[in-house]
Amino acid sequence: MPLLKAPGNGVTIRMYRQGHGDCFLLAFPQNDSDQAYYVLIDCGYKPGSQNMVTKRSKKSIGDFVQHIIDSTNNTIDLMIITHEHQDHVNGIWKKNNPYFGKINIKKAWFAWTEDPKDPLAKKFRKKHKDQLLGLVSARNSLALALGTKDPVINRLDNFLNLELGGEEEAFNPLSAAAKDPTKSINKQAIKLIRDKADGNDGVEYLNPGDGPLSIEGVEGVKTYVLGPPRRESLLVDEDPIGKEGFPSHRGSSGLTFLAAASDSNGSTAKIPFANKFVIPKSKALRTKFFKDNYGTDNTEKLYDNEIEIASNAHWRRIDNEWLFSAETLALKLNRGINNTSLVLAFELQKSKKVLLFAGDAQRGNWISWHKNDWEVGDKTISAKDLISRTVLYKVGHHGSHNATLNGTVDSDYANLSWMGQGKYANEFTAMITAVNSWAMQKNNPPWRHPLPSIREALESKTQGRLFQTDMDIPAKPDDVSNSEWEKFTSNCTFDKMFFDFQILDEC
Amino acid sequence: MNNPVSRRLKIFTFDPSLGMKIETNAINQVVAHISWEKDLKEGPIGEYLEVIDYDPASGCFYKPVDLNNPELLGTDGLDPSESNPQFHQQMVYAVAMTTIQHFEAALGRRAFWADHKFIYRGKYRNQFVRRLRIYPHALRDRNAYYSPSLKALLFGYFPVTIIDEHNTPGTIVHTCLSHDIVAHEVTHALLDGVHPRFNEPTNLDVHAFHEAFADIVALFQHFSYQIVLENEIKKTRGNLDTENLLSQLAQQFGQATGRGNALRDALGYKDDETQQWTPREPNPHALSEEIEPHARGAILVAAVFKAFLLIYRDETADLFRIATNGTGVLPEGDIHPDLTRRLAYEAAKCATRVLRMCIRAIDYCPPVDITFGTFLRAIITADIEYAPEDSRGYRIAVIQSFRAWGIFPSGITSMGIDALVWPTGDDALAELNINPGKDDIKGMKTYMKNLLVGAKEWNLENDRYEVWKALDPFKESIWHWLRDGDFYGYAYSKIFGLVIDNDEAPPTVFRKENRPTVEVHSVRPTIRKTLQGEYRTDLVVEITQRRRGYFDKTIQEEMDKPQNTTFKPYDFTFRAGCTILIDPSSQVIRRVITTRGTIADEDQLIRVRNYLNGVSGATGNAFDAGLATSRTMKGRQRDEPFALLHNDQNY
Repeated sequence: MPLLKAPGNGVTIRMYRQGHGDCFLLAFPQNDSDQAYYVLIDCGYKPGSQNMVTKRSKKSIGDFVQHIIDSTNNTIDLMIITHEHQDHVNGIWKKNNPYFGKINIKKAWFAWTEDPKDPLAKKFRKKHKDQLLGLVSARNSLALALGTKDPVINRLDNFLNLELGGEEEAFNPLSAAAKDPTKSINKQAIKLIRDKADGNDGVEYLNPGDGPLSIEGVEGVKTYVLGPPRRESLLVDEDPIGKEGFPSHRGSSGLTFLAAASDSNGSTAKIPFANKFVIPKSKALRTKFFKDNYGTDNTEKLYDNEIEIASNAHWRRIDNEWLFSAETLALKLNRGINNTSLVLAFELQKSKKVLLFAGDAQRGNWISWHKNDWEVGDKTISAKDLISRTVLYKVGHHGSHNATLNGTVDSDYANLSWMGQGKYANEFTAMITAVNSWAMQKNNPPWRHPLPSIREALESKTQGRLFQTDMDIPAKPDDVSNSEWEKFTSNCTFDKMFFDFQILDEC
Repeated sequence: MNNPVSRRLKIFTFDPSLGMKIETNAINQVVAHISWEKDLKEGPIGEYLEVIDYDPASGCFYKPVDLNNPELLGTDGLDPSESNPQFHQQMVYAVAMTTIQHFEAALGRRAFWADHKFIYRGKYRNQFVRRLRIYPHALRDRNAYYSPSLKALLFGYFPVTIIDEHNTPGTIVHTCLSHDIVAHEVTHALLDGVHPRFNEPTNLDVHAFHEAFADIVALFQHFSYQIVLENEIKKTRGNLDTENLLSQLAQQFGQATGRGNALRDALGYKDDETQQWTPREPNPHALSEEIEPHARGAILVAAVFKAFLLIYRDETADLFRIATNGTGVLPEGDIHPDLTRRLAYEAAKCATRVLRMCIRAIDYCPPVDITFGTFLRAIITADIEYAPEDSRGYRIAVIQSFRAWGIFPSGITSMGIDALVWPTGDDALAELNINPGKDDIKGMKTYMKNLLVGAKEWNLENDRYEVWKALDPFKESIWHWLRDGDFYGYAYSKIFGLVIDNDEAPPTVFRKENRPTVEVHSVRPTIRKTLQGEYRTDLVVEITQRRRGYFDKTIQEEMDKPQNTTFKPYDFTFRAGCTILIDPSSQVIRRVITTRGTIADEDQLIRVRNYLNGVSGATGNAFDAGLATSRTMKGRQRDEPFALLHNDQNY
């Protein structure tokens, strides 16, 4: 298999079609070498989706990793991990023969949220771990009550798998990761990359506003860091943490949802009121008042028009209702990690064209970008200016709702209209990593990836120059001339395993 | 011995947060006057409500309060307290009962909760739900919701994690101690009792309407507490357009969730840059920009509140003239206490009037597919019935304010009152060129008279269950009237926008015995006292038809091929129908309120399909946003429309 080639000037972007997830290989020309400089961004997929990319997909993630090895001569110059979710990192590590076990990695970039020494990041990770543990307990209690086939459980399992990683479609509550999220497969993947790059002293944690970063030996590109924001409230928009830090197992912390959910045997649950008001459940259900008005028996009285509903009707009980909060918590947790996505803008030096890799950034991340600017010589480059020169946009989070913001050029926050302005409009291209049939058929309720309205907006803005994992070749819109379309397709290679797209660094 | 008229119970006026500030401490608590319930039991469990204090996350129950305890009778109930769950029970009972009483006073009938519906031996059954259940400590979440399936209100509590001027980390916020949250949730339940199909989203306004209506009731309930009203009048020097507590909802919840101010404000907002309260100006384009239910609902709330302010200003102009010797300019400093009292009296009067206009309107809404514009028509029609002569210009004020916010019904040619008001039965007949002669009308009336025998017998004192049982047979007789009735029944079905003829209904319309089904959902008696003091009895009847809807247009076309009788599992139910008001004593059809099209209307079907497919935009999370779930999805979906809507999530 041939190496991936970089153009003399510019970049080749390879979008792998490994499934519902991200894996991008970028090749930049090096000053003093014929071989390209290889940047790999993420490597993961949602288990099950790999079989639905095309009608006859038979490739597994192992085949894709081998393809990366062959295309880079087994050396990745720079590995970028956007964030710690299954569909971005599960192609990296496994217990035996890790996928990336033999690959050389010279440098690695992570978001500041992965920095083991960053105090805010530490706090964030601690909270994430606590919440995950609580969520697993809540899930297990609910599964006992509803059965593991219940759609609510399926949904929770899906979210837990995103957080913990791995390649199983089903969630395993007995796995080591479910008991201790610090052992998750996601964490192992990050550790593997970190260890490899550390061997070369090559690990960097990036903060918003960092840059422009140069890559040694590659003249043609500078990198700007847009996100994730350092404001904790933007990363997780619930429970903003004050000076006290997140309460540990003291005081009222025993009164949170998580405290109750983690307390599997119910013996140490804290109660929000003084004992004189309290009747323990087992005792209460033997008293007349609660027996009559809440009840214990599960026999439905036969329907009779003359009978009002029984005061102790079993369908009005709420023993498990509170556990459903787990669903919203899981969503928030997922959103929180998505918002830790490292968002990078690669600027090609001659033409000033920009490639925008948004990871899975959601609103909380997006609305922080405009606060950054960079001093370059005597000029200030604003985020808005940078984004306006975008010619390639890696669409956030499979093209979902809230991961590509809608707005106008005049909006005070970054949005789709900010991208590809002026002369950059004619070249504006976007890449959606989504396997729609998998998202819609294998999830209940279905995942709308991509959201039709976002796909439509992108189709119109890119004039058809829109890649999507599960679509072999983008369709030419009727109002685009043949010659224009050919100009685009001449820069593309469409393969069943990947799309290659070349951007030349010329005006 | 006569029973007392009312039971007096102490409550937090808004929520515990007011007692934490010296400026508001004086109005932190009020005594609510609740109609005396003779058989109130511990719980409290009364005629309408049952408070069951179960805290499943803590694995325990809390002892029920007995409000008939002589000590509590003598002290207006327990003192407001965050740490006494029995006070929580007292407060949810008192606030919910206050809301129920506002409803009954406005609607002129007893309040009913939505029926418990289930399938037994292959048949749909309805069971009577006498009491709404309230669980004050059901969840550990920043959430509270009405559950249509449990016929219950579930309130959550959570520890504060923020540290700022309003919050102390570690303290517990109980949503059941927020007057506004309780009033809001019980309104959801009351509205569901009238319109169970207002949970079925068929356009952007449906969920937003539920939220807005619940907010409107909660807001205007503030005006029933004189001490607060006078305090705010004094603070604002009678100018209620400026920032005040009356227009704000859920202070403590808003602050504890990091908003720095109330959860919602009908008048203004806190500017992000200046951190100053800024009035919100009417924006006629706002509706086209907002699709999130609360943000959209806020537009309707703002329109109604603005209408109130217009009326209040008009009604108090003379007082300001007197107080300022005609200059209209108040001197510096506090206004005279007499003026405060007079203004408070007028404000309370106007607020009651506007609230009742809104509540009465729900009897004049179509059974499905509510929009803000239809609600405007309902308000105007209901008010004309209540006060045929509108000498004070209340209706004009409402129209003016709604127009300023860009709210108007589709398909009308003017925003004049005569265009907005729903037609009478005679108008609608004439519109269809059906002009029955004198004898015909006589025949019609006789027919209806027989049909409605017994309909006049109810009054507000009847047992609700007896009323409920007595009404059930009417569903059947009205059904027969429309389907098998004489020529007139048939003509009526036409003006009601129903499709009765087999030939006129597309194949996907549900049929029974080879004819399109007509479902009579509810028959409600109302007795209203008009402004002139006259009593009017109406029977409110809701009728709908159903049709199989498919997300895929081509499948729909295939299923709707003439003579087709076999159907694929359908994705959604498309409904159309009408609400009619009949005067049982004169047999006059007083009003006919129809949905935007009949069940055979293809454009409406397409509109609903597009909405469900997320064409008008998406709200929600990054996974299933914007997509209605097909009925064919396997597995039991959890059906709690308000649980997720109310959760504190905006991203």
